[in-house]
Amino acid sequence: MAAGVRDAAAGATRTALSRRALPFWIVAAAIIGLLAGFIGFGGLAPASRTPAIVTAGDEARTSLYTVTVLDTEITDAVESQFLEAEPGETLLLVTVRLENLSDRAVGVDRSADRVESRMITGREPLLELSGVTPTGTARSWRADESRPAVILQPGVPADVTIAWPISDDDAAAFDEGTVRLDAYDAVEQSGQVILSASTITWRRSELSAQLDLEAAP
Amino acid sequence: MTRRPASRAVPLLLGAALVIGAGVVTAVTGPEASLLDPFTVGAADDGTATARTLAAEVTEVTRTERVTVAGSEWEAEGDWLVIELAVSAPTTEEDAAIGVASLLVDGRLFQASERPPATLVGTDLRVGTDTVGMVAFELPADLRSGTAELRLSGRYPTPELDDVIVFPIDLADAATASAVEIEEPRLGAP
Repeated sequence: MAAGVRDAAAGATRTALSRRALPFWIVAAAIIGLLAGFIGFGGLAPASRTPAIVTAGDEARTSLYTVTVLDTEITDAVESQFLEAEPGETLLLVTVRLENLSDRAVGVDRSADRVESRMITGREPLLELSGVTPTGTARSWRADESRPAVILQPGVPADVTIAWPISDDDAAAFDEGTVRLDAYDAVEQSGQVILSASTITWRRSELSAQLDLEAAP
Repeated sequence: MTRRPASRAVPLLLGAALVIGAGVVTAVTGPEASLLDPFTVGAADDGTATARTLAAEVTEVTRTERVTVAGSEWEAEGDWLVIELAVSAPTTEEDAAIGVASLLVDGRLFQASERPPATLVGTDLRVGTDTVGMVAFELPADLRSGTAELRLSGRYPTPELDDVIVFPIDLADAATASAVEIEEPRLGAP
């Protein structure tokens, strides 16, 4: 009886190690290898859609541009741009360094040649304040105060000041440090615009980073 | 009745040929936007390129790290390519101007910088008299060699199915200067 069991066990071992079973072992090894790789590279880690929190002075990188907050200021008027806050409102000026990572020149608040970017204007701007609601459209100019209608050349960083009108009450909230600059990622889309088939549009996708704004002392 | 192996292979070969044929047709068909691409116009032997609404000639190409503007406090440092052009209108002065000046280098498309207060872009052009002026391009610091394409179009934005002037510009061959003063466009010799 015991001998019969032994024979059966030996037979099973022979079958398992025989040449005909080789493909099975190869497939099994491949599956184990794949699973190990999947787990090893973080396949089981929980998917995270939490945007990165970036402190002032550090760079936030999206797939089409980078943004770094350099300076934040609250003021009532910017003489060089003939800009003045309405009564009951104040201006939040954020100076950022922007770099265009795409391979075509884009505009900050209006379109450049054949590229619609809408970084700070429109219904879905790529750079948006969170914690306060702007009371009007944002405006931008170069920090060296050359001209408005800033164009970002590919690979050339530019220091740009963006002005948002906000209500005086919100300006108080700003002092508490709850206001952030949301940087959204974008994808380049072409051929779906009324203007022309060859126009590229930067369409906003998910929130990529939240940049801290610090009030100037 | 048994079929010969050769006849069994025929449908497989036919199928493969059709799939490959479809792939080739897809590969050689241009993108839809290319049907509406502008027509490029190169320079003739005398260096002048004449498009439907523009006639242009490159007179000077300079690389510099500092640009200033005559009669203005504005100045900027960086990696600049300043191109001087003599431009005129071939037939009519109505809406005759450079709408877009762009520089295609290495697959990247730069636009004439909006920063200098003086630029040839948007200046009204004359028939029979050259307007001499400059366009400046701000480039990344790592872009020092290679062949660039200067593209001038008579309208903004770059039109479809219309002329665009193209000049080849060798970045390594361009003259270098420590500073370039950008001048307001002026009327040149007729």
